[in-house]
Amino acid sequence: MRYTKLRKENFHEFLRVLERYGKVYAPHRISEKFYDFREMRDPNDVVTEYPRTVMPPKKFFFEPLSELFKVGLRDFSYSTPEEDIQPFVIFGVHAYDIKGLMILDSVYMEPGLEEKQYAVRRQKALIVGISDMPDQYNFSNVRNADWVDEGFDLFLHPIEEGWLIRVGSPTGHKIIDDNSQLFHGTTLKDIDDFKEHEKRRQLSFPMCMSLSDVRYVLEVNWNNPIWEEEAKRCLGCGNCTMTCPTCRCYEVWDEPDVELSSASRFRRWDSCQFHDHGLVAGGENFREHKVDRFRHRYNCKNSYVKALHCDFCVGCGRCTAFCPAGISYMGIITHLMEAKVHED
Amino acid sequence: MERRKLKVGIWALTGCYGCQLNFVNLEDDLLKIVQNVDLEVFYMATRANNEETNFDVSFIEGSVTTPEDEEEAKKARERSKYVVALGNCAVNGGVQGFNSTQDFETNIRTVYGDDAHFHLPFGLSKPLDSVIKVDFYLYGCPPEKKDYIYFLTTLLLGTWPEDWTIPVCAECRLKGNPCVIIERGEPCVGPITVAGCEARCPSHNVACIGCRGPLKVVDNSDAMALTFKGKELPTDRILDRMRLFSAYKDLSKVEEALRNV
Amino acid sequence: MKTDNYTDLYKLNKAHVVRVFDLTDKEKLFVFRFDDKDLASTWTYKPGQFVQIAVPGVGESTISITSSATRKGFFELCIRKVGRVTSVIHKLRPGDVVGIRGPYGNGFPMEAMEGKDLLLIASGLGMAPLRGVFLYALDNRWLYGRIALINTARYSSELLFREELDAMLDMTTAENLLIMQTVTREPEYPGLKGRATEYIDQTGVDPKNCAVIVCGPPRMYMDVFRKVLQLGFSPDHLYMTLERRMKCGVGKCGHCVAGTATNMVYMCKDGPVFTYYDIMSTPGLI
Repeated sequence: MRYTKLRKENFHEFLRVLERYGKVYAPHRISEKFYDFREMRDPNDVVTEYPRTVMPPKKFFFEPLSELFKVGLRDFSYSTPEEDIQPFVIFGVHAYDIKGLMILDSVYMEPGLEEKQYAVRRQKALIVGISDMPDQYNFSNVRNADWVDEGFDLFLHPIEEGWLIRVGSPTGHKIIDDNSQLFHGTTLKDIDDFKEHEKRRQLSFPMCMSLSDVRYVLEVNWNNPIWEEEAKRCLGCGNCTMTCPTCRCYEVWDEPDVELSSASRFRRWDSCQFHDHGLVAGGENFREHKVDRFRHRYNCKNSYVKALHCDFCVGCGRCTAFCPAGISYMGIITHLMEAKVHED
Repeated sequence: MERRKLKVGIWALTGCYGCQLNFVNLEDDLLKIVQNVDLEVFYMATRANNEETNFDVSFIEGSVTTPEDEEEAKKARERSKYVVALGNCAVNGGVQGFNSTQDFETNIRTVYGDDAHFHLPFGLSKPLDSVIKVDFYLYGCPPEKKDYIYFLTTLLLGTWPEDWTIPVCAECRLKGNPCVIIERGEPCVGPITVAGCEARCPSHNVACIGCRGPLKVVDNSDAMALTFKGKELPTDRILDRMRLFSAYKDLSKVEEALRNV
Repeated sequence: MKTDNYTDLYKLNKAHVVRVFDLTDKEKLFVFRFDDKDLASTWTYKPGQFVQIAVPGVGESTISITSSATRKGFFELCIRKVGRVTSVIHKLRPGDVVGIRGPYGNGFPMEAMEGKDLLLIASGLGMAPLRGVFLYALDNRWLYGRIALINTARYSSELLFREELDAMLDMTTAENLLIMQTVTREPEYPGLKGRATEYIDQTGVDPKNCAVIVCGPPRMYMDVFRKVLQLGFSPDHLYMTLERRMKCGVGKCGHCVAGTATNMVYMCKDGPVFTYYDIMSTPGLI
């Protein structure tokens, strides 16, 4: 892998340079406690240290709300929205979110079943990763998502002089080569800084355990009383799934226009935590009770991504950090692993 | 498929006429709608109401508060294929039903004193489905303009509107808002309130007060109460918050949950 | 950058209603043909696959294909009037248009069943996908041994394709077929009465070399499987088909996901056809 260095004094210039490759979206502080990817207007507003954004970067590829197509009600003409998708840059993506995108790719770009809407956006995006310092909710290390070897064009790691950059794609190489005045060779001191930072980072992860058997832990605990207990506190608001970087359920509906000349099909993100998610024609609901829906999410998140040999959950901690009821995802999983179900 | 004009009635019981007003607010779209719709009754817009005809669909605004309201609701029901409860008063009894746990006489005396005289016989404001069968619910105080169009166009196409079964939180996240419960511990009832407003209030950094009413398919108000209790909100404030736009909601589950904290 | 090399997964293909037949109070049989000549002549599918049928402005429904692709140029859907979309479809007349996507799903592994007897057990609307299997097997008669079909419903008025199956009775001997139609809740019905499981031992198929295909309400599957296993049928060739609320048909929208952490399946992509072993290893599948 190629490494280069970006000095602190060149950082804003670097962000400006990225604008040449497309509109730049970067982490911004949107309220006292929340961060999100927003369009960059002033490099001074870009945040480089943040625990997690409220919305994962999936929102750029699998849009929260969109029109899929329009059909003429008289002539049955079929058209998709005029989409002029220009190249764009997402700056400041954490490793777990890059892993999350790779997992989404395995579904939305499954060979033979690629979804055009997603794939086109994915091709147009340039991803610049940034190293994160984990907070109390981050367990991406346990998910092997604390570090990525691919899925980015450039990846920034903090060092004393600024940033050590890993180059992950041909586009990444071009950015470095075309703007060589901004970049410098790395020194032995930079490497020590980098190692020191990584060491500190690894020590900051709150959890240290193996989740390789988590799927079986969940299955054998199917009737564990903790599901009922915790589901009682669940608001069914769907925040955990909406903010999840790998949740990908959607709902569609048709809406005729006011003159009944055409109708559009819209889609929005859906959540398995909503009552009607498991409803089928005729009114039967496969996950009628809140506990069914509650438990389903844990099972789905811990199911296996065959293409990547990993779990769907990347350990970003969003579902816990953004749960208004304060339900702890890892709290439940560790309880399932440790608590006895048999009473002597 | 052949399509004929839809015969529509827009009726009003006890309410502020705001739901009808928002229908009028459709303006240009209203002119397009009437190409496919005959507005036989529309109390706010005309005196030339043809109440004796048969309606494909009747939208009924307001709560059932007086005996006349009940009569009118029944009359509309008899003549209509579909009845839509229009707006929160019709769906849940409205804000005027708020003190439904006390008897009407006590409420009147509390507000107007012992000397007040009322000639009209009336009582507590009730939701429309307490007196007639309601086919569809058009939520909101007032409902969103696009909902009127959606209701009419789906009926014109020979189907019917899909019910909202997701909470305000869903749309709040779609919009990319921060969460006011997590951030400031405010009593936002978004998690238990019917979506469709595109999280209007939370998008302005204001907690949802539940004007679209509680979700009908699922009731998580006990969990909601526990969350509020965790934010140190007093019990009476939690209950008031939940009753504001849904006076007749059964809160026994909530009370029980709060007792067991 | 390449951008247009992806097909639109959600594109509706225009098809029109050719004929409509009333089957029962709730079900109608629709014959459709694609308006596009190339599509009409080349579109093919496997028994057990399904389509997404759309009425623009109203919505989309998941419907299993009830015809067999051995005859080209048209396809048939048996549609129960049950919701917002199917209610509108029931009002369609010849010439009216709909949008079709598909075919989707794995379908039945008809090749793996070659050389075996077939026992088809349908209950209620389950006859719709099984009719596709039955017609396919008849059109490829030399590939299979004895073919037995048990069609069951609560009332005779709910027996799907009852007349069509009755009309085939004259060829059962020549073609080594058995067709049984039984009802469960109509004592005065002159034909067979009772559940399908009561008739399995009378079908004359060879349990040692027979594939069993069941389609009906999910709760009947284990009853049937238990019964056939008890009668000595091999568990290796027990199939069933399931339904969920599918919004995409291509393994994206997540509405048909079921199972547990070790075995999370998309009904639309990994199914709707599953085996006895799938049921046993995937809690929550039925």
